[in-house]
Amino acid sequence: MRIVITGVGLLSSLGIGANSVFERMTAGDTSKSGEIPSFDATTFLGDRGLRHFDRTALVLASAARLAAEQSDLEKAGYSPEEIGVVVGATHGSIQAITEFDQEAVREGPNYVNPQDFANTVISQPASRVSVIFNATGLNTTIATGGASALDALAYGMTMLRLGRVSTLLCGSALGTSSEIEGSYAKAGKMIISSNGVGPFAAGRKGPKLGEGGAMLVLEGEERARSRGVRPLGIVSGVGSFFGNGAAGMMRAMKEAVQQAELTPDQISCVVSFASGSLHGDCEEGQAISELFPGVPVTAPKSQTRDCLEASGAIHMAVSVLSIQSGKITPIPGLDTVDSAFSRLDLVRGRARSASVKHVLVNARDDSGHNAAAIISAAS
Amino acid sequence: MKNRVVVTGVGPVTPIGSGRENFWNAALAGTDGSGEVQKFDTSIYRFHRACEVKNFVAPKLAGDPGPATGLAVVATELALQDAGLELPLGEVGLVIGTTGGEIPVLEHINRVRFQQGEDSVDRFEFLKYPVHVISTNVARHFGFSGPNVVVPTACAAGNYAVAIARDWIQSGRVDMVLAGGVDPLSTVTFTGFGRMFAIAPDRCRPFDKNRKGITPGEGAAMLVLETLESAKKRGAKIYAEVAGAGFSCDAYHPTMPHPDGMGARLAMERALHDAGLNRDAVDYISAHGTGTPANDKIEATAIREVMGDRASKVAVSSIKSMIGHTMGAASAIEAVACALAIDTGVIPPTINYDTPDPECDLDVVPNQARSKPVTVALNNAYAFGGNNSCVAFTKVA
Repeated sequence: MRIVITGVGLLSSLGIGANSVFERMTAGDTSKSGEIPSFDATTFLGDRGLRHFDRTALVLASAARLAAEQSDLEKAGYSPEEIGVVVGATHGSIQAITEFDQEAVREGPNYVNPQDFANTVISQPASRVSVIFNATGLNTTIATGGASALDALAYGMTMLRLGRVSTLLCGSALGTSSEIEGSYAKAGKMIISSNGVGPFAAGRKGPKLGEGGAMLVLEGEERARSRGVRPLGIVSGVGSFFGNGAAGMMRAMKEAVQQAELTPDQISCVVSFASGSLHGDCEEGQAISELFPGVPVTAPKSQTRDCLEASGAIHMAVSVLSIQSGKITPIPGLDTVDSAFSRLDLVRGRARSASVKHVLVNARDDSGHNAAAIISAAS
Repeated sequence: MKNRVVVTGVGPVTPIGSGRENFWNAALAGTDGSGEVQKFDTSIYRFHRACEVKNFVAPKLAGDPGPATGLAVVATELALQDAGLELPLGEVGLVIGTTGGEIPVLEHINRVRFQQGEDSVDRFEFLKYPVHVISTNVARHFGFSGPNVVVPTACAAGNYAVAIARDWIQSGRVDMVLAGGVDPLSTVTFTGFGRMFAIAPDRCRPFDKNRKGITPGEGAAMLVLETLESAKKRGAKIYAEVAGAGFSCDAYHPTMPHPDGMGARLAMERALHDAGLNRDAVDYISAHGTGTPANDKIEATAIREVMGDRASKVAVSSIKSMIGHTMGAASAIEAVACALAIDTGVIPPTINYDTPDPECDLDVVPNQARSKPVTVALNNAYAFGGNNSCVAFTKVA
């Protein structure tokens, strides 16, 4: 059974809505702050019942709404038991946990707001999406750090192929968080600055945290076509591998390519996970240049910043838009490429026009979790 | 033909005992694992009892990770020993379910901040928190190179982990997976449930008319799952088969279950369907049975509806009456109980049961373990957000 994407919802610090974010990306813009500009979740979710959502849940649910609207999911004729929600999440609840715990420390445990307790649970944003869409079929959250969204996709594909659900809202989100940013900066894993060079650049000093999220509507191709909705892309392969370094990443990417029944030279472009991290970019660059020599490589985090686990979902959304538009987004500000990446065909400066048939989306984490997916054009 | 998946090793680390024998003897004896909280001062709380893992010696591990990793490592070690496995094992998968994971790390940071100021917070301490590091730590400690994920689906996480492991093995992706759940005692959890008035002031009394809430707990359990073929080939002791799994979501409320038990019912029906079993085959249900007024009533309703006229003939017990609510570890420990009930033909009791509740009209195996052959056991687990799960275990003939 071919699994197709029939809706894409995307929010990032570059804007709201897949088309408007992609337009800014192809124009070579970068986000000025890490936050989604003029984000008002009530626009997407109505003004009732949102009071106790944390920021991650608001972004996730808004992305889900955008995706569901594009796919006309709520009029698609799926019964609630056929609809599932699968989300990748690792850091998304940290801000809520910290605020809840700090209030308990400061005011005493009997004075916290019990409504805020639910948000300390990592799976809560996914659950809130289920409530909004009356998705009673399945609700799962997968945590593998940076690889979370793609591992969630891999899990979701299994659920669809086994027929446990018929359609899925699948993706990830990360709400802006001073706690995550501050803690990673303190540990030297991130930088807080509006300056500084990004992915693959010489002199890069680390990633910057960004807010964002993306959700995809996934369903069987036949069902999608029979209800008259146009597939935006096909999830033709997923791969996941636990293991360090370039070798670990290559295993995940190879598995995705194999599952898609492709050869590496058929890949139109690689959407890398490169973030500006000194070490991570090196390993990934090495893996990509060995597996996909000569294939154009982009790095959306140069524009959206690093949205941690949500990045994989955002990159899938970007891939769908690339396929639709025949444009590969650029890596702006890449004036001096680190010599370690001289073998990569990095898309510098401006967007590149190409016939985009198969996009490889890669994701990794310092923990050794790697995952990859191939999004292909729907014929 | 899909691979059949069996349980060949269990590693429970619980408030009533750790390791298969200690745990099972204590469970069948109806041991109450609760006591006054030792890990933190509860004088500022309304509630003071929890089920803590006693005399736990945290293993010395590279990088000095958080307490969830320590519990998970010991549970894994026990499971491997129980399965008669020796390292190195190479390509073994790992799935760990949890609610809060290494949340005590964040709690410690917040207390240091409050008492000594931000500058006193160790700059690398935060890196021990993100939830996926637990499975990384465990995999590195034991050298497991197979697929690896953490599934943070709150209080049903253990069941999710077992089901994901089963999918991996059935599809041939890997032959052996260590799957389970872990949660150390957390002040955030204690605070949250306390503020919801969902903690029992004295004892946890699942299905009792006078039940008043959960007893927060901590623990871990890991299970060795492998193909029937590989278990037979290496002559391993087989406790039970993981025959089916079912999931659903209430899509109703962030913390409350659906009042009609709609999702709980669907999860059980799906697990039976997935296992190719009829409801008449069910001998034992390990209930989610938290001891809150809402959960137990709704779960009882769902069980009665799924089991129909057989409802009163099925033994239903909640070992949370003994071990407390160990959150993400709960359904992993309860999975161990299901496997051992099948293996030993004894069903652990629901303790602290005094007054029957007409709204929970079930055979809850009150206070005394019961000898009864168990061929099919269902393991129910529900979670915040209305995430419902049920895993079916069967005897391998």
